[in-house]
Amino acid sequence: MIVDLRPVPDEDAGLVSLCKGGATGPFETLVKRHQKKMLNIVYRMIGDYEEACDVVQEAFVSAYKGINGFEGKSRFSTWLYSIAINQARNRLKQMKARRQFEAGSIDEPVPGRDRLIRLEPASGDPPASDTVERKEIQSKVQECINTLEHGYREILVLRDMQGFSYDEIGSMLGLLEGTVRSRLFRAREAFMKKMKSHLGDL
Amino acid sequence: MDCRDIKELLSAYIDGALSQEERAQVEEHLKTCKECSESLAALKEAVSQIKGLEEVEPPPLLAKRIMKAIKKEARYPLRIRIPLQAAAMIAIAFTSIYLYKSFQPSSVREAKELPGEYATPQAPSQPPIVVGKAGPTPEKEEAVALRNAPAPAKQEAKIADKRIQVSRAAPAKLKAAAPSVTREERMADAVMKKEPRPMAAAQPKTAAPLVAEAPAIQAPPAAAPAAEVGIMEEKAPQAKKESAGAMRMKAESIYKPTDIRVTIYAKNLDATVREVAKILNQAGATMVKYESFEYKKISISVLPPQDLPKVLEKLKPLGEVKGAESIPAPKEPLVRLIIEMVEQKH
Repeated sequence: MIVDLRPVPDEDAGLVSLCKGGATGPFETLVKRHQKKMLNIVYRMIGDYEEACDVVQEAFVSAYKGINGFEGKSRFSTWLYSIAINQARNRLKQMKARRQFEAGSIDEPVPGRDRLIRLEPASGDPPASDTVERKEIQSKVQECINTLEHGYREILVLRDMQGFSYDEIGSMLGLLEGTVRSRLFRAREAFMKKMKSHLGDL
Repeated sequence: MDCRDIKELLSAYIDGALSQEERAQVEEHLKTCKECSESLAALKEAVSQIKGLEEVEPPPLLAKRIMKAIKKEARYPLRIRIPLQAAAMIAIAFTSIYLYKSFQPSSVREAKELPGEYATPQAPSQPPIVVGKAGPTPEKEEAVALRNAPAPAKQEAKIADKRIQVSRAAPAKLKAAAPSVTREERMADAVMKKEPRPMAAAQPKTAAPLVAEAPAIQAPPAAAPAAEVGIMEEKAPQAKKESAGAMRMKAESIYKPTDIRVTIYAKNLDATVREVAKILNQAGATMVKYESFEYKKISISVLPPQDLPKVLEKLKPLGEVKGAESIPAPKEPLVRLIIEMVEQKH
């Protein structure tokens, strides 16, 4: 795998400049183009499908409001996702406060968070025994990710799930590339440790 | 480079994020170190587990929902929407107060709708008009002024001072601090000159008469005011005004007026209420309140005692008035007049 360091032409640039006048039509195209990726980033970060949909909506609204402030120094998608990540962080804090308020330990991972995924129709193909097993593993993986600290969670989602480059991750999270590298290393270590302790249950 | 350094590099190695030199070092090490090769395999396994997480599909209506929120934002940005909502809330509050008030008994409403609303004492909107420089301590200035005065004048000044204090506590009719002080001081002036003036005639005037009060304290009674104005006298009125203002505020907050109860037996209650309201309004009564009962209306108002006889006189044509005959002349600066209007049965 090679990190692409060349500046990538931004396919959204044209639409973005149309939106700067306040037009909502071109923005709809941008929404349709990016909603899935945003939802997946946010969903894996916070582990709740409904909350994630909410966060994505909020993020698009504040992106629309702030689109005149987007200077094109990074790709539009990078800017957009960084907004979504910020909103997701805030939502995580709120959820944590809510859970704390509703009693129960905050350190304990909320059980069955990944159930929503299992309820998702599995893209058409019939349920086979290996699909079931794969889903089992997936829910274990998500559980492990959920128990990691937020910073680790974000970076694993962005790099290993979404395949963003170190450079892109750096600009999304506001980190230097060296920091991205070392944090990713620590996040992976933490994840492996969690998986190892969970393997017995599998 | 030992295994621990290599392990740190493995994460970046699988992402191809190492420099040429680092990559060569790692690859060299992996050839010989079994443990690190295993670590690499475990790391690759973990990464592929995370990669294996399935993507979720957004709900079919998410894009529509987002666009709805954005169009709302585009039409009424939050910075416009919030003030609008606030304005609407205020409008609702006022409307509900208005509606609440309009459900009061009809006679009370009619009385309130009469022209020339009952004046309520207003807080002074402007500081008192300043004549001369401020004296360091008002009381001292007054004392000096009194000591300097000839004996008879001194005595009279004391009387005047007393009167001023009494009239200070009569704030109801007075709208602003400056004219009110003027009025009080004019009263003092009137006493000094031994020209008793009726209270109602002493209308608030501009700053000019303010000066006239000072000579009254120091100078012989009959003297022409303007001629006597000196440095001391210039200071005195202002100092007085300040203390007068403070006293008045205090009196207003702690003072409880004496009650005067009057009963009117009238034929038409509603018409009587209107008439009483007019009379009280003309007399400049304040804090006018009405209470309504089945066969009885009560009006409560506050006014200076000197206005009382006039008001009672005016009430007489409205019907049989009881309780008005034996009214003791109250020493208080304000009285509370409670007029009970009872329907007369034939």
